Amino acid sequence: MKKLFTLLMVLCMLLGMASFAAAEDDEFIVGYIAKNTVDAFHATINNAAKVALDALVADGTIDKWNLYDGLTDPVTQNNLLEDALNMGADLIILLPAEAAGCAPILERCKEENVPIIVVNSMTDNTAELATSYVGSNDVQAGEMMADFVVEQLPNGGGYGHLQGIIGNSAQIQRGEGLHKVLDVNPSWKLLDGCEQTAEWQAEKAVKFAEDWLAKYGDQLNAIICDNDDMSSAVQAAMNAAGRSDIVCIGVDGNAGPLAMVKAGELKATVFQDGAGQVTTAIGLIKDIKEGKTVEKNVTVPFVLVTSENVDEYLK
Amino acid sequence: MINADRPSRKLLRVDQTGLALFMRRYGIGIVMLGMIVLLSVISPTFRKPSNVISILLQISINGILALGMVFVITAGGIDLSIGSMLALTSVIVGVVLNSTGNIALACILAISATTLFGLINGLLIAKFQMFPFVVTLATQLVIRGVAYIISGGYSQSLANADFKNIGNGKVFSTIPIPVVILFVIALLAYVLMHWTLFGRYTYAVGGNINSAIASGVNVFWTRVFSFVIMGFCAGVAGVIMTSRISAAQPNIGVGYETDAIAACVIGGTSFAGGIATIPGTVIGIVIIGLIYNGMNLVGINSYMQTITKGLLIIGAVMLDMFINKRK
Repeated sequence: MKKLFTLLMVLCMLLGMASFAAAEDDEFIVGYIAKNTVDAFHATINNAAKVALDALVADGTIDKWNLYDGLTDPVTQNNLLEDALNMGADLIILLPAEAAGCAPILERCKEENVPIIVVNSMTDNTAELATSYVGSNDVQAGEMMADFVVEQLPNGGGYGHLQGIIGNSAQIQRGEGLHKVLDVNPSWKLLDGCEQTAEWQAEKAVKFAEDWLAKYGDQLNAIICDNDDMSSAVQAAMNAAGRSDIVCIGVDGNAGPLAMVKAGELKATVFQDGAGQVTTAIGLIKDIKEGKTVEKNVTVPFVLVTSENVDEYLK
Repeated sequence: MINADRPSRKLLRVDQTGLALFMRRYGIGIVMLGMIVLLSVISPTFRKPSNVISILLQISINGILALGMVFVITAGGIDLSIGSMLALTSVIVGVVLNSTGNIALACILAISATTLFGLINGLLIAKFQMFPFVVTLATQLVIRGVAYIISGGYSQSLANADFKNIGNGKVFSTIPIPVVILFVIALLAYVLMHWTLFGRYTYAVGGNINSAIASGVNVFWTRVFSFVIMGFCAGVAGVIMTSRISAAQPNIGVGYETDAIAACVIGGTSFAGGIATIPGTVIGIVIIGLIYNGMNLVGINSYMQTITKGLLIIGAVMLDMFINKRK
């Protein structure tokens, strides 16, 4: 019995760490459903969101906000929405884990008449149901990567493409952008079997890249990756293999890749301004609360980061 | 720890029929009640009927998985392939539904497929004496791959409104359909585990396989059938999951085995096999749901949530060991 009470007390302590403040009906509460809290890109977004939302609490625009961790899982995010609604959320900010699987979240918000701002990537029904969408155009990112490769290696050659998790809108659109540029360029060729999904993971990406290098050798001139965790790791592996001439590029602008650009080990990376996206989205809350119409679609541009401008992005 | 254990052992020996027996039967239930009371006090939102409904809805997928898993673990196995089975169900439902529009056909085909993979798991394990951990670790990859092939790697939206009802509809406009399904499966599991010969065989095979063989228990089919049940449950859970998100996706369900196994363990299922109860498992399922919901309601940050979940599982298992200390 004593142990049982000990366990219960531990539980009390853990739960007691949180505030006892009750949600009152006249409070304006924002539910922030994160995609996850573990990868570097989303950690940056979440931290920027925390700063911006805390500022709204401080100036009295909103009373409270809660962060819900979506664990990169659409089912979890659907469940979290219910928790947020039960907590009396008056506005939802969603960073969708998946385009199709997160669509019901927007439908539920419409049913409950709760405004929702979708940030970073779209769900299938974002255009119809979201109060506003703030993100970047991933097709543009794909085009920027392809243009950079073409510019760096004007003689052309063979390239490989390492994709993110298949089905994610960033994966689909970045691929679309790069194919738009390279498919019509006669001097560039996608090497056979060299378009694979490494699921955003650096370590998987390196394995593919090393196998391609072994198979194609000098025919392999560029490796384009859907994120720069992958491209930086692949570039490091190519440099180690004595092939620093291979151009690797990816999207995001995470700390590691930026440091490599600074050190001259990586030629460039495409910076996605995640913090800018979420801060812009949070900036809309005041207008939505006051019932003003806000822009349906806000685009935050990508930036090509090279050794020339890397200092602006390196923190 | 050793010192702390000594008096309790004495207590167990002296007071076998009183407090100890009571705790053995109901200990984990008291933990659950304690959590409920605690959360009700801390969070006014927790008490709302709409929150109670949403907890039940949230536990239904994991609950159905855990009710399958409890048979596998009790028979001395483990199944790591269920996350992939969820994905397989999802894409089969998607392909069949989008091409024929027939909901029943889609569900039946999907559930048959996972049940078949359950059978394959069981046959590999029982026939060739392979370790369940290794077999299902491998079939997890195979099944995931099949799901990717069927879907071509893409997720599809499912527009069918009737299908959406399976995961989002409500009976008498109060109780969500997945909760009803969970209830029915729990009832079936109870009957199967506690009232039938198969249930007794399952305990026997997991408890002591040699004496089970000696007593003429059909060890082979008992083990196989435990995996078949798991496959069936994974299919049902997969249908609900697909309907909840109205999308067929090959990449869902990663890591879902963890919570299902955790629910069993918290509910007093012994990893060594041979010990489990269905009511205990149901309580384990509810506790997992309370952990998730409760921590979100009181606003514990997500890194702390992960730690808390781990600590609670260890705590529950320690409690269970203390309560169920066998000679």
